Amino acid sequence: MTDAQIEPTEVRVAGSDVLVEARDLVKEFPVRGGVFGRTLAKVHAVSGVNFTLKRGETLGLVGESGCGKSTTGRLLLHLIAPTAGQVFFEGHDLTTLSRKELRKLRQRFQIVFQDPYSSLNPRMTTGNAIAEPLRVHKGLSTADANARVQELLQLVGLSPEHANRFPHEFSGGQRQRIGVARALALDPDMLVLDEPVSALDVSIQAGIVNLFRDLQERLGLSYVFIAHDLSVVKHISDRVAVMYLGEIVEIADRDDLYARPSHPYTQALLSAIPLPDPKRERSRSRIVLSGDVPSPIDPPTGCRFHTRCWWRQELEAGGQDTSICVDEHPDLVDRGNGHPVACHFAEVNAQVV
Amino acid sequence: MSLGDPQAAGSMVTGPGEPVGGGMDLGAVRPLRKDVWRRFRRNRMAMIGLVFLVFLVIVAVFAPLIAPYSITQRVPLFREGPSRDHLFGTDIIGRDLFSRVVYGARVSLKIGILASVLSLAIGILLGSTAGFFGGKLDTLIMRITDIFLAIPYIVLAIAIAAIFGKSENTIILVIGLTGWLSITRIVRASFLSLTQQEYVEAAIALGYSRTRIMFRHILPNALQPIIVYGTISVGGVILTEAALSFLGVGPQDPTPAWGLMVAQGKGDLVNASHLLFFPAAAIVLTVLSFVFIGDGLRDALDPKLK
Amino acid sequence: MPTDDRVLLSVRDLHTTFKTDDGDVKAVDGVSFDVHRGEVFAIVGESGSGKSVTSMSILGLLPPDTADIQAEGILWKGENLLEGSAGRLREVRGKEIAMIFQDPLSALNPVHTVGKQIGEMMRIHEGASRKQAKARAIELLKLVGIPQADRRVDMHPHEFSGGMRQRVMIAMAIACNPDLLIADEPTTALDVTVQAQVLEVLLSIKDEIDSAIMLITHDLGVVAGLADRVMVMYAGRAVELGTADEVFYETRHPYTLGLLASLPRLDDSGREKLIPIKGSPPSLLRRPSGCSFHPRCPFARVPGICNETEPPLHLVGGMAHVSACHFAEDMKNVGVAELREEETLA
Repeated sequence: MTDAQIEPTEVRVAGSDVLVEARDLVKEFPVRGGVFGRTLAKVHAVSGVNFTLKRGETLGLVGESGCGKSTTGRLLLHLIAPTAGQVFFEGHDLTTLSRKELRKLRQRFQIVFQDPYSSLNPRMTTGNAIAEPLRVHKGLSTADANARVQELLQLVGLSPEHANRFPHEFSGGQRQRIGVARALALDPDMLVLDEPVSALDVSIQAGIVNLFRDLQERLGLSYVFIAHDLSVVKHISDRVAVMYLGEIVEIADRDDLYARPSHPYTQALLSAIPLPDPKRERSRSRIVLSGDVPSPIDPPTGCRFHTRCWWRQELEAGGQDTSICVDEHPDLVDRGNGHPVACHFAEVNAQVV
Repeated sequence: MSLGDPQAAGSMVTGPGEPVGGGMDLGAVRPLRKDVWRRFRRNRMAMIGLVFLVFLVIVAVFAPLIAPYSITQRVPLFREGPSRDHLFGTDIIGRDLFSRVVYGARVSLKIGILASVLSLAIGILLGSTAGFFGGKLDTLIMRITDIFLAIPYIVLAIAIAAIFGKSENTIILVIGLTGWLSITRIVRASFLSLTQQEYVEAAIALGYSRTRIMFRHILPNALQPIIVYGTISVGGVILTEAALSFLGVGPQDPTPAWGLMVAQGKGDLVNASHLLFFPAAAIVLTVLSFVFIGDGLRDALDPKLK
Repeated sequence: MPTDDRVLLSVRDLHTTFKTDDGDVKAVDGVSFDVHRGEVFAIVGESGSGKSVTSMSILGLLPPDTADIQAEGILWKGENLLEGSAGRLREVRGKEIAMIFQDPLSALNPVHTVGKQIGEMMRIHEGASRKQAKARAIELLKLVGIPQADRRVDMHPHEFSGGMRQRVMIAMAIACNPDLLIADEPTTALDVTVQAQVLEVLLSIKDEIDSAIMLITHDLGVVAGLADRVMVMYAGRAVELGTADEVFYETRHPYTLGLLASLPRLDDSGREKLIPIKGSPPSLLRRPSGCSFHPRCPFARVPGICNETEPPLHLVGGMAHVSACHFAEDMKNVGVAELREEETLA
């Protein structure tokens, strides 16, 4: 494949094989203090996450702030090293690669960030930002790199004249497109999209979501789409994993998850999302969780959701013994719901959507 | 185009391949450098500072043409006030003060700039290393700066002067070797915050080497506080040099250092105030112009302000 | 001047202009609306639409050296705040009109306990004693659902989580039983499950102290759940105003319709193609001629009336449903479903 082409060379059968696998991923950040920076405590950001991503597939990673979804995304790209566990990219264990090998492999997986204002170097023109990876990795001449920059700008819906502009001259949506063009420069197989539309205005978001869908179709890309908004995720994902306090609590095919949410947290999350529909909003009953997300420095024992779990409260009110929630960690397995759920008392609740 | 026309709705969609339209009119290309100059020019005090500095540099460069006497030449007039022959009067041993102040511009600018460059070099090296690599290296470097901060610099200056002798070069060394502390802290702080920026993460994800990330992506964005601080610090150094000369640790007579001249003039405040006034005025004006320029640069270099 | 005693706040032809080096920015350009007693009035718009500037102008919170506020009147219970003294405005602000901000951490003072900050309002405006103020602060914290209020009252803002801080802000805002609460993106910084809690608190508070709420947000979902009436703003102007049902179900402005169509909805199957509004919002320095929305409007007739004449707000249905579109009447036949259907066909 020549570098100036954008079409994928081989036709990859979507969903036929595994591109990335996360195995028992754990990430703990030390909390340092004192004069010599001793470790005072650990933030349990990601605690034993497992999943696979197939070629051409989009996996949605959903959860609220502090659930570890962004950390998981960075672990996948090995932007940070895991405390334990492994990431396999086409069978290569990223944790065992040398720095040089890793730098080479990095061309295959890229990231698009949430904040279009901090994701572009303010002192670099659009053209230079997109051409830089081409010059560094492919050793393209200036002319070749420029030709490719023009193509990439067009691919993401910008006009080629914008190559000599600086980031501050663009709107948020346009900057996000520049970020996408830069990520696509090296023809990656996978993109981690870290809340790529959350910072954008509603009318602009839809265009970016459509862009991702189109690019996937054209280039056969795989996505890990990280978001807090379950309605955006629904529009782009093939599969969805719901995270809470560093763990995946439920993972399923898109339609299955939204039709048969089985973890009480997924159910609460879905019911909390307001619909732009006054009549339905008035008639809807909502599961309102009590309290806030506990600190990841000292996560609850057993099931990490038990302190806020509405279902457990209901079961207790009904006289059921729920001490297992406090004492025993629920595994992420299929409990007869059709997909894996990490809840001792998982039950389907289709009412919430 | 009527409502309900499918093409009408279709035109709302913008997909890959076609420019997004609307808001695409970005106006004329405005290079960053031009913008900086435009914003700098708006700051009147900074412009006055710049004009004075340019004037000072010309004076320093053409000192032999401007000064009517040499710095050591004596006339039989002691402590005379300003006159037609001696614009700033003469000093205690009959040297022309105007000529000495003119030549003093060379000394002050040389010391100010070289000492600042020295401390900037040390500060940028240590600060960027600490901020970029973090961890143990960071802790080590910051503890070393803490230790240096705890030593009174006057004591350090006297110690260095005792070893290397009292000269212009010594004072450059003294100030350069003590001035890097705050620069290290500033550079470290901006490197720390810039390392958190997503474009640095993007650069890592794109597989760039650490040197490239440090020099192409972080340093250019860290330059703003460095340039501002560097400019203001030249003024600070000139002031320090004056103070040290005043204390007798700096360059010795007959070097026409302004601070030294102030020290020599302090005894005769009543009878010959011009001995103190002219060199002191030169110091104040020079320091102020560096501070004003630094202030102007701070606003002008911010790419977020348009 | 209207004397309808249902009307609490009446804003008449508000113009707020910022002076910048590049020229005058008309952030709000001729906006009029009423807020009635006991209602939730929502102002919806994207960044730069002027929705926040509108509320800041009402309260006189903009820096006078850069912001120029002109209006026929900003009538608070019939009294023109623009003509009142600075002292009178301070009195109204906080006591009769209270504000809840998006970012509670920067709106709360980090060095004082939350109890002191809530109590301060009452000490300033009602001359309450220290003891009374603290007792009332505890009562208010309970009201907004903060557990262990008598202990929490002595804590500092950093000891609270984001959702809890926003509750503290609400407690502070309602300390003096205001008649109007202005909530500027009150839940934007919060997680969805916490947002649900805060919105619930906001609604129950409204009934409890019998006040009106002016809700400023970009989130149409929040609006649907809370608002009685809605004003949609675009580029500093009101483009549609009506009851929530009118605006959502009988949309008469292409911009409102565009917003609704671009929104990914939870009740979609997820297979639909989203319909973005083309282009970006205009620069307020170089506002398009005629209707500001015409360069982005799929229904615009250009060249023609849309780029030549600025459309006035006019009655398009119901009691007071108004739209600023030349072709508002034609919009009767177009809804989100039709727009999407056409898109799928095309």
